[in-house]
Amino acid sequence: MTGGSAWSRGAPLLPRLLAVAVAAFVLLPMLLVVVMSFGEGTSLRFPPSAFTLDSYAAYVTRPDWMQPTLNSFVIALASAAITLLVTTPAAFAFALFDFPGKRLVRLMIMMPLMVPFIVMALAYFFFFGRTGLLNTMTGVVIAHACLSVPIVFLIQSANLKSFDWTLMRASASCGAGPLTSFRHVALPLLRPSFLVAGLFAFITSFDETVIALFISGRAASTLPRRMFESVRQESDPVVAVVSTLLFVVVVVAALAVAWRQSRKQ
Amino acid sequence: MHQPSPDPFLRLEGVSKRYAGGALRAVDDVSIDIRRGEFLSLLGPSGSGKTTTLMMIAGFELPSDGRIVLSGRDIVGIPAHRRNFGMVFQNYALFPHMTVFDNVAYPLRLRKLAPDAIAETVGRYLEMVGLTSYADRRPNALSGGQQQRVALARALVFDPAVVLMDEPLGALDKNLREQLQFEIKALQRKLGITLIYVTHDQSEAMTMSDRIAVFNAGHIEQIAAPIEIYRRPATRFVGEFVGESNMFEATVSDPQAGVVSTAIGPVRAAAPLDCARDAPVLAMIRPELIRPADAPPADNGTTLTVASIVHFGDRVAVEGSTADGHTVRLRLSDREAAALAPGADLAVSWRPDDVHLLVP
Repeated sequence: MTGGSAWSRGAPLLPRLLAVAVAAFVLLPMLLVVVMSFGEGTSLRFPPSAFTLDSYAAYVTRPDWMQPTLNSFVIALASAAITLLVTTPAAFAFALFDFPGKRLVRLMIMMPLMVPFIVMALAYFFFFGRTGLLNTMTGVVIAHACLSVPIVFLIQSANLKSFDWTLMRASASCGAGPLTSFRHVALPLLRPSFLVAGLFAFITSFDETVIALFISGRAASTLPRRMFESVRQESDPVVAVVSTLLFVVVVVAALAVAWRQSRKQ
Repeated sequence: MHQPSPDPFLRLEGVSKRYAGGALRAVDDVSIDIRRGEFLSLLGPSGSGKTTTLMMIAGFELPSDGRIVLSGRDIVGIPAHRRNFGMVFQNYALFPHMTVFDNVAYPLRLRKLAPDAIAETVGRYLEMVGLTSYADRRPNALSGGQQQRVALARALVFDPAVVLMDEPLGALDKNLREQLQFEIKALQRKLGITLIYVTHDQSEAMTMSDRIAVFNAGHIEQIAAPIEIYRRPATRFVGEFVGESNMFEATVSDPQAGVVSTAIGPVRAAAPLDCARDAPVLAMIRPELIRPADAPPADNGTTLTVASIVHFGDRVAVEGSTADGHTVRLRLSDREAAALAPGADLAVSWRPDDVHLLVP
């Protein structure tokens, strides 16, 4: 049953009103930000006195905004790559083999998911301070990779659980060794889900603020950190532009995924 | 047409598979000689070790003990992908991201054949399984029967030394299953394939095989031609697992005359018995060999009270019980059963030829 058919069959009034209210509650603050991003002047105000694209122009021309944006992309890409390199072999090992201490290792992989961010942030702050990684991109990349490993490991494990391992045996019976089978059978079939896992790692890093606030410093400042500072110190309307752009990207991505899935069916 | 050659081609020598530190014996000391060009079925209930045995032959499981010898060479240490054995799985296991053509071409590409040789060979095998016009389709656009034909072509296309099939028709409905049984058997004969076929379906094993190995609890109860298995089961398990049977516990009363005494009276076999007087044996008579009689004879016959009548269309299954409550099953034709009703008396008899005695 789809939502559409429920509507057309005439859902009772109260649930309808509730649905609209919830949607408004979730969406309105975001729409507020979108409207503000087109506002005139050098400070955030609602409602805006006039509409311009000045803040958009400012965002793409000012290095103090472009540099953190670039930093965030580089950090997110690098930490996603490291995350996949760690979680993919781990997920295969967990799917295929039983080994002593399996549960303990799984618990350790899951640890970052359970420890509060602020505790990790402090830990990284002191640890990186001693090892010279404080205020460096490398430090942020490592911290973010640790953060996304449990999430991506879970996704990869789920992917491998639904993978039909008989296909690997079929490939072997055709004469393919394990690596050839991985290349010709497992990889092409798992590539889409690997991409989704990588996307999650990317978003985890791109979105992360607490740890970035503690350890990224001015040199390696990420976009969320820059936005946080902007709101606190300058009330710069560019922050509304960035929020709007991120919002649009997420909506487009969500629509793309939904479209792909509807086409699959 | 090929005939199975008499010399062993693939040999299992005392093969065992133990799990859980040796406590669980999935396969226990199994030895089979398989001839070149032979169709051998491994038949048994689930958990009897037949699939584990097949997986050890395929190279997906390592035997805990014993040797697997192909043309005089022990292949236990050779990984699955170097054994050159074709394999067909129950769930088809076609590569969903490849077309039908690419699926069948896969083993040939791995063997680095020239593209035109690949095209020619794949075309020939797709024609053999009747799927020439489906070459460009993806597996998920095909029916179950078509998918299994593609899997068949993929397993045969590289001229494997042995073809292994693991319940290949288990997921198909009855009519399609019978049609594919016929096609697989025809291909096997035509190409002279050595085929090892795992099934739990006794009629499938009966109709297709040159020989059947009946598995039970990890060991082989009997290896023989299908009709031999049916007529002369070596054990009670085989007699009851393959086909329907009436099995009576008996003691030998006259070895020279081949007479044993059972709960339904004296039963006389055609041949003298190589047993001492009073030795315990089992007397087996297939339901279709018990015939209605005008009056019960002194031996090899009795009078039953009809308990139930079930019509199958082409035959009627009748169950009757003797005066002291032993059940006897019969297979009658529709006409023979026409006059019968539950509660009626029915005199039956059977020929000494049709009695099979086995030592439990």
